[in-house]
Amino acid sequence: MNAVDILALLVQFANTTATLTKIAQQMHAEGRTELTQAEQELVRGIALASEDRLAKALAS
Amino acid sequence: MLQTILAYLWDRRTTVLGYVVTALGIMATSELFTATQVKWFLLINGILTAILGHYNNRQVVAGNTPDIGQRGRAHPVLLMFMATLMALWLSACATLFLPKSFTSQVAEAYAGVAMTNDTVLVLYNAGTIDKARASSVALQVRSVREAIDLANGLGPDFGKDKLGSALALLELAKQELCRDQKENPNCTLLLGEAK
Repeated sequence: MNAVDILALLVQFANTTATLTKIAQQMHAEGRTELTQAEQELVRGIALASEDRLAKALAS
Repeated sequence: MLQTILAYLWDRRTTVLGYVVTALGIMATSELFTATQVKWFLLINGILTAILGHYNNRQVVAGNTPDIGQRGRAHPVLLMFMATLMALWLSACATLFLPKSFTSQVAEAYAGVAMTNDTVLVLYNAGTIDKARASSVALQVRSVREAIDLANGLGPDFGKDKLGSALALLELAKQELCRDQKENPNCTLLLGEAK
């Protein structure tokens, strides 16, 4: 385990957190408490993409 | 009255600036400000602190040090000022205490899945865990993601319990991934901040 691995994970975490923060800010600005369908798909897409990356790495 | 308050605050300018910056810092860590606003606060704080430090140094040299060595009971004005700051902070944070909606909980669950998958990937690439363990955890996390899909499809009335079960399974998968890696920074991140 080296610094690059840790940094890579931090970047991934930061990307996920940034997406959630943007959605939260948008919801707050519009006075909503529920995510739109598009926002839900966006977050689900992040989970699916991570699953895909992991599956590819394990398959190789 | 206003003049008295302003004079009192000016006499304790360093302390007052400290309180203001602390209150703003708490709000910033609660993500109540945009990144641009935080940058401006930091810049303004830096300039104010530099100016204040320079001014205070001149006052110390001149033998006039109203902000140093003040002792005794807290003045009512200072207490009022602190209470106002606290009220402002609590009102600003009120939105954070609102009950979470079902879709927000689903979104957080998906984010947890993504973070767990990414941690498995990094640990596997680094050779910290072997392929069998990585595959096992990946399979568990995939099941969790499918359970979240199902819970989301069922909606808030029927999917809440399913979502709770999915999150419990995700926690188990994280524990399995990090069972002998408690000191690993990635596991610390996953089990702590990213929970």
